[in-house]
Amino acid sequence: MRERIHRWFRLVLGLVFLVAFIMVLHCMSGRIPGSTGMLITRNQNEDLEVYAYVYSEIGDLEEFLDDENGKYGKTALHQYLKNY
Amino acid sequence: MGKEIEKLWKSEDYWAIWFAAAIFGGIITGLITMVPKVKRWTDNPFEAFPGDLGLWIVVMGIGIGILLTIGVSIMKEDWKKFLGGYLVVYALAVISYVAAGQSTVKAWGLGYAIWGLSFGLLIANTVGTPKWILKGARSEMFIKTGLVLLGGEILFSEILKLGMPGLLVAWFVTPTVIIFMWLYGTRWLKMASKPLTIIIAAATSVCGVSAAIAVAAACRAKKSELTLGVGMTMIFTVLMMIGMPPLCKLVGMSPAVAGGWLGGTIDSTGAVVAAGAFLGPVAEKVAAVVKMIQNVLIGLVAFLVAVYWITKVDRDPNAPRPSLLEIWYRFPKFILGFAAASLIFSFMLMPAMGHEEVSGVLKLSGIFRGWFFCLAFVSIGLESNFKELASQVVGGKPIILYVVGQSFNLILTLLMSWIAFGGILFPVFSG
Repeated sequence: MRERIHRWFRLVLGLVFLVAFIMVLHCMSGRIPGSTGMLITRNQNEDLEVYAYVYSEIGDLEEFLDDENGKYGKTALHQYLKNY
Repeated sequence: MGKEIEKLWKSEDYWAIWFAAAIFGGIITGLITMVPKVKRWTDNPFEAFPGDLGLWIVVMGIGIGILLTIGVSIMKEDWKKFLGGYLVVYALAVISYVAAGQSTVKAWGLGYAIWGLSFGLLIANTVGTPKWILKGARSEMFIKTGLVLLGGEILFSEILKLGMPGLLVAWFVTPTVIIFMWLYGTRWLKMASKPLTIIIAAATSVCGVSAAIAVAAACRAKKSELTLGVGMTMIFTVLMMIGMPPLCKLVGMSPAVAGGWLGGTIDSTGAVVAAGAFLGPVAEKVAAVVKMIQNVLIGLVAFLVAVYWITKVDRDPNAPRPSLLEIWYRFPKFILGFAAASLIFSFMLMPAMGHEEVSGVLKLSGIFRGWFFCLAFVSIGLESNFKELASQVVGGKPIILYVVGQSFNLILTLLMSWIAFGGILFPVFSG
């Protein structure tokens, strides 16, 4: 019986640890200085994996040079992502 | 021959193909018009289920359960026990997706794979996984079905559009690094587990988790070997995602060269885009495209590994070379499903349905693929124990293999990226 209680206790402890890990990660995210902080902040707001698929559908790399205002610029990209 | 025909409805390999075909068929014919996906959330986990999404996730779980149960019952297995266990595994998969959907967790690149493994391992190594749940934890069936679905996403017809520089970086470096790591692991480090060696090599050089899953299935690796390969890959992916962009900036690397370098070395697609985005739009786009070209190699690598395993690794050295028929008997058939899905989508559906329609189908099948992989990782966790995992790391050889292989990958990819994007072979990408 005691062994059983110990096992359940370890499970609860493990779950508490995982939840605490997420909370700590979340609470410190706004306080990370420098490039890592910037990178994490940006990632929080974008579904970046989708970008990769969109870019790959666009085609030739040369087209990518046609940037902000072009056919595949940020504005067009965001419009595309809305429908993704 | 009769036995081989019987396998069509009795083997899990073939059923993976039938399951995926049913899903593709449902989407193409318009029976499935929406596939629910847990949403991103920040403070409140219930934000992950806006509106009636929670209900749809339950409906999908039951739908997948019914589909799989049909297969399991035709394979003459106890479908009631499977269904009971499956529902618990699915519930854990939903929890894993919720954990991975927290915006900060997502920002760090800690995806559903690591959460599925964590929850599964936690249960297995504390209270122990009840036997009735294990009946539904069919990790291989989930992996194989997910891989056939992934096959549809590998569009050969799109590759040529992506440009020569990207092809050069992705397709020269990847096989070179795999061969280097295989030789280094087996001949120099003399690693005890050959499947673990090839899993780490594929995860490092191709595309992390997906490649690890495909290769592990191709060489019939143990679950603990796949768990270790995936775990290591995910930890190093986070480190590379946050470490490499500042380094590129520090040395003043051109955005296109940096993008090629990041795309060719960082293992997860999301992390690649995140790292590239830090250096600006050109680096982001080049990184993403190089990664996508590299992802195409998953199927080819899995195919070659399966053939190599049958003809070299698993073969008795004193036995004669296996005949083509024997290779066929022992070949993991779901890889053929993977290849068939890729060819059908590339050369039949793309011309017939058009780019936009096919993209719509793949968008939905991609979400299904994610669910199947998530179910697989939960199942692997539920079936694994820490002692077995620890035994794989004894001596630190897997870590040495990863670090040395990844270092070689970093150097070679940088060289190729400079040649391809730095104005040596092709015009300079100025951005």
